[in-house]
Amino acid sequence: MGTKCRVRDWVRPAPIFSKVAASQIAFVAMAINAGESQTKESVAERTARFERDALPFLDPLYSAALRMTKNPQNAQDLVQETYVKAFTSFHQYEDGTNLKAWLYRVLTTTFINTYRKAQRQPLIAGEELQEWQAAEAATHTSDKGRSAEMEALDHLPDSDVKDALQAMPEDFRLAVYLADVEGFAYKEIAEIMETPVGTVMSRLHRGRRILRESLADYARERGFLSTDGAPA
Amino acid sequence: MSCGNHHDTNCRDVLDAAFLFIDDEMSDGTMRHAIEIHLEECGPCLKEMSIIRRIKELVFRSSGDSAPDTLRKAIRGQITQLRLTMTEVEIRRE
Repeated sequence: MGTKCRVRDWVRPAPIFSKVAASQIAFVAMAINAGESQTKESVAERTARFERDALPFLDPLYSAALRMTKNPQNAQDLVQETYVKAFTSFHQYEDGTNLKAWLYRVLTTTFINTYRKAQRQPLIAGEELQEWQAAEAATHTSDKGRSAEMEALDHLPDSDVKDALQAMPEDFRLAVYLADVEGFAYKEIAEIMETPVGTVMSRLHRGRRILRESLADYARERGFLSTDGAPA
Repeated sequence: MSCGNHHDTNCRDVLDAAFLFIDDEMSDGTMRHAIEIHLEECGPCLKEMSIIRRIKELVFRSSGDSAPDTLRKAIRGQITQLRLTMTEVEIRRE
């Protein structure tokens, strides 16, 4: 089959995604078959539609990929793989629905299936546990403590926030990122992460509490906040 | 938790719903309105809500990286190649 050589030709060697090359041949065949059976849209038309609608999301997708992989090279590989998958399965995307959420789902699935599997990162254990402990802790802050915390937050450099986010457990970080940076609704995040909405809420709650504690630590290190929570 | 003052909606209920409120995920308009009224009356809860909102803003501000041009070009190149392959197969089948 002539397609095989051609497909191999353009696949850039990427250590993490090397195994994906073969499956891309199947993608191309699938994409063409589906295109024929579902719509009259030609390959050229579909390409134009993809470039017009999907490519503008490159920056936010790269930004999200950076948060996931914590490494520019891996982020580039991940985004590239995401776009190839998105293009070859673009027939599955229903025009008029949320393309951004669909692309994020392709990104997240690709990340989980290829990158995370390769890294063999352990999944978060006991995610639903200890929620009440965090809730308890959050309600024990004094009013004076809150004023000091707010003031300290205003002085923190963006780099501290970035570092604090990076240090968060992956699933929490992603939920917080999707909600706060991309502004996705809980329901959309649930679809992107393929989890129930309740899990999204739990990840957001815990993620934000971890982040808040971590930001307070940074503020203390910088001397913006004293150890007893009062303004330094 | 309570700030010690009387409110129609208690502080604990307001803080429990803080994320839903900030994320604009409250399906119950009555509860949303009750929280808004509570925040006008209760300083500590307003501060707590402000901190949560500020952290959300900080996360937003700290992100937003641009994709390198090399990546943009690589993706365009791959799409072009894929299109050629797909078009070729399309023509052969006709």
